Amino acid sequence: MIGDERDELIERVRHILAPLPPADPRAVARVLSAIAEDAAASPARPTVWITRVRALLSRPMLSLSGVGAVAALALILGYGLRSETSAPAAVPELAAVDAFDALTPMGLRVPRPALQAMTSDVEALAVVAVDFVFEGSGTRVSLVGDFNDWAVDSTPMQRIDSGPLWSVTVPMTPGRHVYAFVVDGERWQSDPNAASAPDADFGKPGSVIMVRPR
Amino acid sequence: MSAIPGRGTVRRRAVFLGLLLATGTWRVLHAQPARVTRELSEVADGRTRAMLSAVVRDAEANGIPLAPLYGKIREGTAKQSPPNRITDAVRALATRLATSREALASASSVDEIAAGAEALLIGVPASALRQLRQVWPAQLLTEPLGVVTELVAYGVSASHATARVRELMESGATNAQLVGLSTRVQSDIVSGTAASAAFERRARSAFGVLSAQQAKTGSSLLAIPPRPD
Repeated sequence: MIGDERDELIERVRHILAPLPPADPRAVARVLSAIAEDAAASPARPTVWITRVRALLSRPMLSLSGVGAVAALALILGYGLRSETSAPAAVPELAAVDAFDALTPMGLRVPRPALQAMTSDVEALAVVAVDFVFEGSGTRVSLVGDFNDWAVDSTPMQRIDSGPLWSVTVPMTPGRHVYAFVVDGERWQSDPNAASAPDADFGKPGSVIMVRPR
Repeated sequence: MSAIPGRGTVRRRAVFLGLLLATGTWRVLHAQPARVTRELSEVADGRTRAMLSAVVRDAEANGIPLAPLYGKIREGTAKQSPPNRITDAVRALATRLATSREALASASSVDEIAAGAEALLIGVPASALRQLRQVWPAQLLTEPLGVVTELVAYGVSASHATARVRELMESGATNAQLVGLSTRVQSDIVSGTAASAAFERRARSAFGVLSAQQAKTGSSLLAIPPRPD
């Protein structure tokens, strides 16, 4: 019985999502190439600074000023490098572009390649677009997890045709991720179609997704 | 031939550089406290903020990555947990991160160290982390560690999961193959198969695939290792 109900649900989702047109991977590749070219064409600001500092130091001035300049630059550079190394790695946000894969019998959440045609730089990021679907009642539903720093408002889910289904697509790095659905900003729910994630620390329901690298 | 600048110009430059020096010094001295303050801004209780700040500073002094700790604080505040539970959770995570970092070697990435800490939480021993690092000294272990963690969460013993995953890595399994394996084991468990039996069956199947791949490339055939348990 449960299997029949699930099949019916899957068919409904498939029916709703089928009309979505797939994006052209070549168009995506063109956009990414343009971005890469723009980045390459940007002026290298450090070179300007180096030139200015070199000019400053090459002029005759009091030795105190020279020492001060070197010390200040060293401090600023040190601070900059320190900030770089201590900042948490940000997950690049890439738009999901390709067609939906077939839904699995295990659930409604299907990993799929984010971009099939990519530049080598973007390929190295290895981000995979993952669809999450929630079924239930509520006026707003959001997705939270380790991938969005558990921010309740950062990943709202979209209601499908005013029905009980809500969906969102999230770019994720491969590996194990823990997540949950938050209904109306306060009710935490796990995904019944995924493995549960015991939360010994805070006791809230959660689920696990293993994102497969491509 | 360049002209020697006047006294006024030199004084202006000296003042400018002095200000630059002072600003740089202030930023260096106050950079980390500002970051901690920002990360702890969601924690309402002042005493908890102070305790968490101390945990973070201690972790930083010991070279433990801070991003997972900040993540745990955010998770606790998002889940509206009591302050003492958040502090306990962050302290416990800092300890696990230190153990994970030591087991995986300090050059490991933050994601690897965090994945190792998750594995430790579920009962995987630090020695298992060391074993996996020995097999892949230069490759990221984030996915294999996640797979072992999930397998143990399904009910596979830590020793069985670690041994088989290690053997698969030694046999040339990729991250995608390992993650795919854990997904299939989960499907089998949902279908009613016992976790350990499902894992053993899928692991043997994976060895078969790897063996066939090696046969294609002319390498020596793999022998399926005996079950470790």
